[in-house]
Amino acid sequence: MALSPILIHSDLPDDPNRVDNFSNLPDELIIGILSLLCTRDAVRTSILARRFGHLWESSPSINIFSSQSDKFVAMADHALLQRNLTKSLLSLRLSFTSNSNESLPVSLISSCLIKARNLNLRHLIIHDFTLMLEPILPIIFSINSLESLDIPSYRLDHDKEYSLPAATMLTCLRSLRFLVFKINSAKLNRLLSELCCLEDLHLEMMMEHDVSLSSHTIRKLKVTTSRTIYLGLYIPTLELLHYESSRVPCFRGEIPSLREVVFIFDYVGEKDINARSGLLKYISHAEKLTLEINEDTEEIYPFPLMLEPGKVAPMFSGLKHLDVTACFHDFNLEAVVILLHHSPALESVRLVHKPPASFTFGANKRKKKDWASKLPRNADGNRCYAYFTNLYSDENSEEFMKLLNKKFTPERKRMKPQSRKCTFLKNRGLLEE
Amino acid sequence: MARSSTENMITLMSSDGEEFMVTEKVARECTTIRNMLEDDCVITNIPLPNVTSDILSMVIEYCMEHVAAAEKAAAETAEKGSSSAPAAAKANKDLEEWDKAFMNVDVYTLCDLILAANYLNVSGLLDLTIQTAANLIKGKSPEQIRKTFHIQNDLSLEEEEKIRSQTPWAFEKSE
Repeated sequence: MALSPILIHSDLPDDPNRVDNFSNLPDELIIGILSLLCTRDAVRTSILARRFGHLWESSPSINIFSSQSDKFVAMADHALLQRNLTKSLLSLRLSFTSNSNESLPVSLISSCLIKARNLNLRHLIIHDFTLMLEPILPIIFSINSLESLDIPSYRLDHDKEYSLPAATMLTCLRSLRFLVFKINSAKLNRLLSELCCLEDLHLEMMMEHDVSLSSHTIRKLKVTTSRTIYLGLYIPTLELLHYESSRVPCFRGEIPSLREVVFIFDYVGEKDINARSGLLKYISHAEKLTLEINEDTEEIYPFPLMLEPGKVAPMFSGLKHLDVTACFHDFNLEAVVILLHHSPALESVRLVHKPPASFTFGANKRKKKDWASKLPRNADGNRCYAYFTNLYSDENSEEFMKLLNKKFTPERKRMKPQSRKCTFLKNRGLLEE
Repeated sequence: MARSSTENMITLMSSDGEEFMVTEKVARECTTIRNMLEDDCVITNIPLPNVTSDILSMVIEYCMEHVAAAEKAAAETAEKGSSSAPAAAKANKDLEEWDKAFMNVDVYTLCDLILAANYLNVSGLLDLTIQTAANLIKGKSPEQIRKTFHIQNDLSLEEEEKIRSQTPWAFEKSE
């Protein structure tokens, strides 16, 4: 183990009278420090000195990870199963990442969870690639003190449709992260309707799905997937939508309270362009839009990533902050300029150039020049990014106006020049009719 | 926003009798002092018998920096109607960097700061100092931790062996 730099009073001579003020901290503060450590590190403090002996046992958090099941069992037994029932537990994190196909006995996980329930557990994270979730789900769903539940990975039984136990006990649950495999809309919505306090939902979707979500409490929804999802959102309370995928989703439904949107798309190809255009229309009432588009490494020439050529772009009447990370070749810059013209309420814009991965140049005839950034030169003298803030005041806006008035090469005129005919300036009253 | 209250000056007195004049807004970062001011609003001189002058000056430095950062963000919001997201992200990052540099202290000072942050109830500073202490323990052997914090081991060899044997998994070489 490498020695990290140790802070010591090297300038002071060893003063025997200088007290060790770490050991003199009150119990509650030392326990506070121990609670930030994983359980193994916390237990190690028990032999520092007599003072520290059993302090770790009072830590409100237990964090056990191992790649060997015998070690894991020993830790879980000592730190959790033998824990004094008077010491309630705030957070429990179990992570088992075995390289082999070794798995933990379900009975151990079950007893851990039952013990955690008796300790009024509030936050649970289970990170286990070997775990069959179904047998332990009823126990998890019976921990009614639970405020957050995070089960990012477990072993999947590919042929089976998961049945979910009733979640009516989870009346305090605010945050849920869950991997969804074969599951139907009705079951998922029954679960959501039972979680009466749920505000934050993160779904990892493993299969192509057509699913509708209804809730009257969720404010944040995050979806990560590598599949095409047809997603109906009937969530009047939803404020933040975060979608991360290598496939463009199809949204439907109503999300009138939407304020902030984060879209991250990987391996985007030209053929999905109309789906992406539709997507922007669906969220055009948001105040803040963050868009990151990484294009397909197979394409030889730049192609439009955001707006379908020849179609009228939607109006973003309430959009205040726009943040786009993409390869800013002519097509994308033009699309962004159109977005700017259609966003009369904009206050800040942040554009970051991200070229396709360099190793793909040369192979399949890509030319670096075609993918170079066309952003205006910034204050640092490069074209890697362009930030515009404070768009209400006249200073700073000169560069921005230059960007808005940028002319694009004639062959792309088909991108509806009339639609961006200074709409932006007119909407702001900056241009006379 | 009540502007006048921010201009009131409060004198904080350390255990060794040094006086520090701070604005009420800075003093209010300490929940303990805020509660005193709310109970008795005419109080202007607060003795802090548990905090030495060198530690108190650091706590005040921390509070001033964080008040200034909050004021700057608020001013930007007032000017534009809402703060711009990239600017806010940068300001947060700057403050994080400042915190990190502020934590470049020896362990004696760190422990004194933990005590002072706890006594004065400055939650941001308490979180910061406690996390810093935890980082000094993370992944280290018991011997290294003792050295870092100058802890005298008062356990006999037999006692230490006994504790080790109860939780052998904690003392094996890391995986």
